[in-house]
Amino acid sequence: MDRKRRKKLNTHIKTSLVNQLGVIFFGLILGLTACQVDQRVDVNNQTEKVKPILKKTDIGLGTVVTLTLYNARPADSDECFKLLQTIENKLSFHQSGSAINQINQLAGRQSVIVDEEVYSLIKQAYDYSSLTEGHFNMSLGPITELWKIGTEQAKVPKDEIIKRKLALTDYQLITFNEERKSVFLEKEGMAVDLGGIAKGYASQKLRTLLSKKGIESALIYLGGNIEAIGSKPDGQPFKIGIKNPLAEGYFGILSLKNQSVVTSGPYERFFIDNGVRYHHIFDSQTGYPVVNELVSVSIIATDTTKADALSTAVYSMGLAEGLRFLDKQSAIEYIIVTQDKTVYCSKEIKQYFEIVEKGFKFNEEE
Amino acid sequence: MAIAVGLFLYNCHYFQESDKRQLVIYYQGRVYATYPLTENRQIIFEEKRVKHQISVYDEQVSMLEANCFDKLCVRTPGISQVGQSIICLPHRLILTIEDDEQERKQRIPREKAPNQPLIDGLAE
Repeated sequence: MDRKRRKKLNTHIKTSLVNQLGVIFFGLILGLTACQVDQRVDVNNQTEKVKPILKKTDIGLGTVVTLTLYNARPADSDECFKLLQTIENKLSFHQSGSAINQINQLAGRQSVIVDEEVYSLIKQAYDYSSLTEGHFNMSLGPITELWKIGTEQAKVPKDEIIKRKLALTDYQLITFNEERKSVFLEKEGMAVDLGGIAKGYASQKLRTLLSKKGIESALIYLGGNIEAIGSKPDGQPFKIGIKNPLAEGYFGILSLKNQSVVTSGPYERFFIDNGVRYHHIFDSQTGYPVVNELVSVSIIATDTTKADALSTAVYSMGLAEGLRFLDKQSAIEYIIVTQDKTVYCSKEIKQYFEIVEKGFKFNEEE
Repeated sequence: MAIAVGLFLYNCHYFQESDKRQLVIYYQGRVYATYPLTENRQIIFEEKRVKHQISVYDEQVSMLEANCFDKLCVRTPGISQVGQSIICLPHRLILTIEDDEQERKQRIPREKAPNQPLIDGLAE
């Protein structure tokens, strides 16, 4: 192994020498070769060099983010991660000093003036909460804080505490002052948590940033959410696997152009206590994880923030109510999977989606 | 003509032979260390209470052990292609494979589960 490599290296040096002599000779005759000019630029300006494919993974918004940018500079991806940091500083639930944290700290006591961006996002969250009749609930903070699912301290809380905290999760007790751009939570102990839409929102902000930079083709992976900017450089759609909710890998492939897909399911974050599995999507009515026949809900839309809110909401609604709800929405496509591996999807999406895993089947009755 | 052939060979050689893939370890948002992928080694990562055991073997990087609570990083399959990563979210530790080659055509890293067709990304 080692000898082989050394041999490879030796031949590398030899051929390099021979070829470099060639290059120099060529350079002497013609002045500068394009190759040499290129190298000079690169040495001085490493982060400004345009790369055909640039893939960068880092942690942002408390989750894994992978950017695949086509014809972009390393500086572009750096800026994306900086943007994610500023969004996190504003929207973080736990970070003291974030706008959201201030609102929650002063719940029941004082309204908090926030910047326009945060204000309009909180309003948006409120709209999704009413649109879904609380299935997406922006004020579920007291419950998620209690369970701490996805952290080391996850535990099943006492039933009486859950009941007490439930009284603090009514999103209708959030009041807005349009003129002052202020937000007030009427009861002490209430807490807004934008965790359900922050990723979608951040993804849309990245899209805006990248378009400003002139990047026409990119794929954003943000903690499980996918946002396609344009198509692949050759014009082909991105092939996006939809996570198999019951095993490793994916059960189907979606062809995606210039749209987002957000998937929710009980497999994302959970813990097991006394043989019972508790996942992170809570029922607003009971304060316990949602129990129904669904194992995965994917929403495909151009509005990633909305897709983020609706994937959680529809999961919480269950199959019948979820399908009824989705039928009334415009510009929203869906792929829903039930425990028995039946796949329900909107008519328009069928031509872009194929099942690749054995056992999964499209719903026949329609 | 000979020069053109020479240049062509040089380029071919440049694209195919030289392997500058390296393991880059990011910790708490900063580059912590880099290692070439072509040298086998075991790496013990230890910072305060954070402990990881990483291996580079046969040009593949794996997380052997970790003292994080979810052990998701240990369950992540080994990586060898540019752009692939193993991530420990609780510890903010990222192992990623980078390639500082200048003009090289990057291999397109794609997610793949056993016996499944290639995809560009995974919605989960």
